[in-house]
Amino acid sequence: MLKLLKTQFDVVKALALREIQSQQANLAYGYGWVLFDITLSFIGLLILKIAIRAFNVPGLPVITYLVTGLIPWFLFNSAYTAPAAAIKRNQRLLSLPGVTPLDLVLGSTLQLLCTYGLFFLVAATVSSFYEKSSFPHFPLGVILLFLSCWLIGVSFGLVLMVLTRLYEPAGKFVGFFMRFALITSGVVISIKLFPESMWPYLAWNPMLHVEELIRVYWFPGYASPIANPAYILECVVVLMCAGLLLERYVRRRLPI
Amino acid sequence: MSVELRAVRKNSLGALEDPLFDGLDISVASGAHVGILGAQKSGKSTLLRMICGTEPVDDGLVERTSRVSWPIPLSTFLIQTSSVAINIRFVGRIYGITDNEFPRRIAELGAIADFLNVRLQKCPRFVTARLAFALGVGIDCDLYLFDERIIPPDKDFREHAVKVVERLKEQRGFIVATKIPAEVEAHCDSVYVLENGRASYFPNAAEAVVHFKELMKAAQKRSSSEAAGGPESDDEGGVAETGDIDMIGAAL
Repeated sequence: MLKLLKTQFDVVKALALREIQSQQANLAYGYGWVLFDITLSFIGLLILKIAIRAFNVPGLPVITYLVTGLIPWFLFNSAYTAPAAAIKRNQRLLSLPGVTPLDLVLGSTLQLLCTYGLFFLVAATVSSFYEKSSFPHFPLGVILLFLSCWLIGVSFGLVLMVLTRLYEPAGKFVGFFMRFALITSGVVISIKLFPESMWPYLAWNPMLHVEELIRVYWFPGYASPIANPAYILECVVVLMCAGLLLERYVRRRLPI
Repeated sequence: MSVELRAVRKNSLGALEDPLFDGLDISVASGAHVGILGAQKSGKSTLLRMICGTEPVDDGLVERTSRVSWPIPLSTFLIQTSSVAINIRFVGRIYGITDNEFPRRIAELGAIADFLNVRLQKCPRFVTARLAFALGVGIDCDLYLFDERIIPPDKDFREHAVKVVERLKEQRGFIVATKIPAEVEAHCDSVYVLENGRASYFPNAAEAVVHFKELMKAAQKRSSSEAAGGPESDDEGGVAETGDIDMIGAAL
């Protein structure tokens, strides 16, 4: 068992390094693109927040609030689209014994975790200094929540990959759903700004819990009315089991 | 036992066609040098992929008790935009090799040390073929799989490759799947001949070659009589089939 895990670890490590070397080496499509994507969205949302002051949470620094919401969301967003793309891009590597589609997914998304993790660290530090705001009072909690963004994204991506293979238009529905989810996940607008009657429905979204809890662990005075760490854990476990089982099913029944 | 296939079934891609393999039994002992002789499109490459585990079987069992290579000289996993050294390091890492000297060793094995830091797309064509061979035989496995030829057809590299293969033969087992009888006669102790989705075992390579040649002659006769008498001789399928047999004839 340990030997098998070691073998898979070697494969995933090799694939993640290869992703960094080959894809990220090209600035236009690698780090440069990630930086451009984040910066552009950040500026857009910052303008929105400044223009519509009602979106601001009183007492919280605007830029750090956006950074702590936007980069975890970007990680989730990239991680859920990565599995299908990673398999399509690296299909030829499946001709090597020991390399499985799941390894390709893990290798590719591990590289995403490193990239966005680095950006989060730099951007959050710079914005905290700039706004003279506090650093997280529970850093471990923030790290674990950042990891859960990645896990939710990868697991959801595996489920989505199987659904789109069984029924192709499923991907289009998800695109529409995600635009709505960006607004209701607490990335820009805090849950407190939504009518209280909507909270029980919005609270089904695990990313809202993640975003709210990051703020709770980051800003000492912030309290969330819905954030629940146990719900995040439940969602991670259920989504991961569903994703891995479905991937296994498809690998056997519908080989690439 | 190194590898064992029991009652394996593999369906053809076309749903209405006969299965590629049905009730296929093959067993290869550790250290054995085994040939698999089969006509064109008889599923030799598919069989090698099933043996190394990169192609799933539809039914039956494939049991591996030792480390098996990929079909050599497979090169599809090489990244053209990366250097030879990066490609070697990547494959090494996949199999847990982090030794800094590994790229140099592989480059020497493939006689391509001068191209180690050159991007693969800028290297002469022979570099990819030699790299594919060197990587295949350079990774430590118990059983090596060769697709079509053991020695690469590169004249300048032949002598070096023969020495490498001779060394490999002394220490490890291999399977070569080919349509070229001379290849199994030169390198194999025992041979399986693929016919009608099954494999017949021959403990002696010479007997297997005689049987295979008879099979090919019979197939050629059948095909030429069909071409002479059948109204479907002008269609595309008929022409392609005759072409296949001709190619096998040339190989014989």
